[in-house]
Amino acid sequence: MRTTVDPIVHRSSKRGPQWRAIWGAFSQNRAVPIAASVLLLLVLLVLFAPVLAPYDPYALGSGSRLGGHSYRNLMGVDNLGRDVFSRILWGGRVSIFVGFSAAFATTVLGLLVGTFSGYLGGWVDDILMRLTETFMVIPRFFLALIIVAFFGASIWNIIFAISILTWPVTARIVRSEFLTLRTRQFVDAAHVIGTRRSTIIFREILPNAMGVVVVNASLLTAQAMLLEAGLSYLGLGDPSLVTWGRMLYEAQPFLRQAWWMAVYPGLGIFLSVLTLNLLGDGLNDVLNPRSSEIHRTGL
Amino acid sequence: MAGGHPLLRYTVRRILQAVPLVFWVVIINFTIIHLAPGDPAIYLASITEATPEAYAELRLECGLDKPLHVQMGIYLWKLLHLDLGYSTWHNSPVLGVILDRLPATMLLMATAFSIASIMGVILGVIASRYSYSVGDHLATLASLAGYSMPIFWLGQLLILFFALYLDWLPSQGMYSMRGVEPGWPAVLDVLKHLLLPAITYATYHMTLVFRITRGKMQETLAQDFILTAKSKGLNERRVLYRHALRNALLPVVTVIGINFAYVMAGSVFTETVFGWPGMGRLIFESITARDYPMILGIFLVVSMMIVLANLITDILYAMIDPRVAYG
Repeated sequence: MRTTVDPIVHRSSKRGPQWRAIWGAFSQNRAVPIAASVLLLLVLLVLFAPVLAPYDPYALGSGSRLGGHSYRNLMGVDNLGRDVFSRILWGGRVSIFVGFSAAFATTVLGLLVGTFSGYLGGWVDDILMRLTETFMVIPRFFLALIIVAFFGASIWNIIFAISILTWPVTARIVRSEFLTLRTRQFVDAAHVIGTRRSTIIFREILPNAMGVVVVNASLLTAQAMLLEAGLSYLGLGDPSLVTWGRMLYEAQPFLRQAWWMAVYPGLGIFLSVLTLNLLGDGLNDVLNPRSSEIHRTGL
Repeated sequence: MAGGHPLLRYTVRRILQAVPLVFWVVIINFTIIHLAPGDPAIYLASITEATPEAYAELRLECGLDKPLHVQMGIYLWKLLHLDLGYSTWHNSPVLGVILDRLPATMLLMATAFSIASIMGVILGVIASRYSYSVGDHLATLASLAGYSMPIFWLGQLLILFFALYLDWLPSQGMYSMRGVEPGWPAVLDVLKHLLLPAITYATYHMTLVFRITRGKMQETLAQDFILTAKSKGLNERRVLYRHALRNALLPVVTVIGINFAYVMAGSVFTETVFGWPGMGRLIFESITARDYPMILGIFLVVSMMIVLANLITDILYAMIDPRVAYG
């Protein structure tokens, strides 16, 4: 019954040529190098915040209240006299950290559920998929609001809330990859020569499913950053930390007096999310040339 | 349920299937909310500085002293009688407060949603017609930008530019503070207030619809039957809209349906930025005030909207594509 000839030459022991092919495809796509550079720049900027920030982001009196741009305060001063530029650098740390951590947690959870479900099938698959569906029907964003509002708004709770709400999509993507890959010839061949099940899952199938997972992870990071910003904008962020979303929350009452309080943090979120989305699209073209569509969901 | 139009039978069956789903969602919501630390009585007591006795009385009044499963049973029983409970915070029945706020949200979201859906499809078709032209590239980039923007930040930018810098439009609320004469001036007043929040939500939704329409149209236009239609000498507009679009529309309808389900989440942000007196604000206020009956009531409404969105999507499928069976 499994008569399809596998078109993919399975991984070789040498990784070199594969990476060269990926890099070759990347340089074809002009958006990807640009997006990757901008993202890298942003990450470096926030990583070196302790060195680059001219002021303590929480220190009052770093400039005159609601003061505009000057050499002392590159991006102006907020309503409590804190330096906006320093807050942007430190706030970006938290925003980007939440984005990557939530995407990582979601991917691990999704890989776990998707792998078991897709490889084992049967009743395991049934139970896990019913669970996934239930999670998909619940109004996700409101549940995030409730978790964070009721259980406390530490950044770990926020990361937890985001991952617990986004894993079902990842799980379904991984599962469908496993469903198609496990019927391929190279998997049959591995069975025939007596390869252990765990080896088949981790060494044979998983590397081939990684393309889809990586694309999904980059879009997830973007989505997680938007969700974190949304929660913080509603005043439900971690009160002890500055994030870009929280800065937008603080800017809302002062739109009339200080536009810089709103424009710069939003620009930070916008640039990170845009580059992550561009990167996801570009990676999708390179790693999964056959699929034209990637899964996108709203809030 | 024999007889009747097949579409009608299908609709009735889908509604019946949705009932247990909504039931499950209610139970899950109820459990999560009541497992959380703290309760509405604490919040009320803390702001009114009530004595411990008054607090205990308040708990008794809210029924919070009973075991969880009994509370849930009472809630479900009331629900069967269309009683969504009583909000101590608002001091009125939950259903009344929701019905009070719903029209403002409907006005905002229905306007934004429908205009954005239609514009998104039309722009997507045009972009696919001129694929890979400069205009198409610009539109695609712009749509990605719209998709990557936090919706509330876009709102803030619009306020900064159109309301505060140019001073063309109001930035907050639904009506002017100064009394406006009833009749046309009042309608115009609401429309002026509506414009910026509607554009804010519409931008986000339109970019999603645009992207999916453009992608699907490109795929469809590359197929053989389009070539056939063109070589028959049909005019281009007809090929584009009658032949290609109809075949590309199913995934577009899916995206629109999914977004309709998330429309309330969008309304929370839009209404917060613009101080719009609708459901979105109510959701947020209720969560901060721990108004359990109100949160549960809103959750129920939102879940029912999601189910309704799925149902309408499926019916639209059947109308657009006759090959879809009422399975």
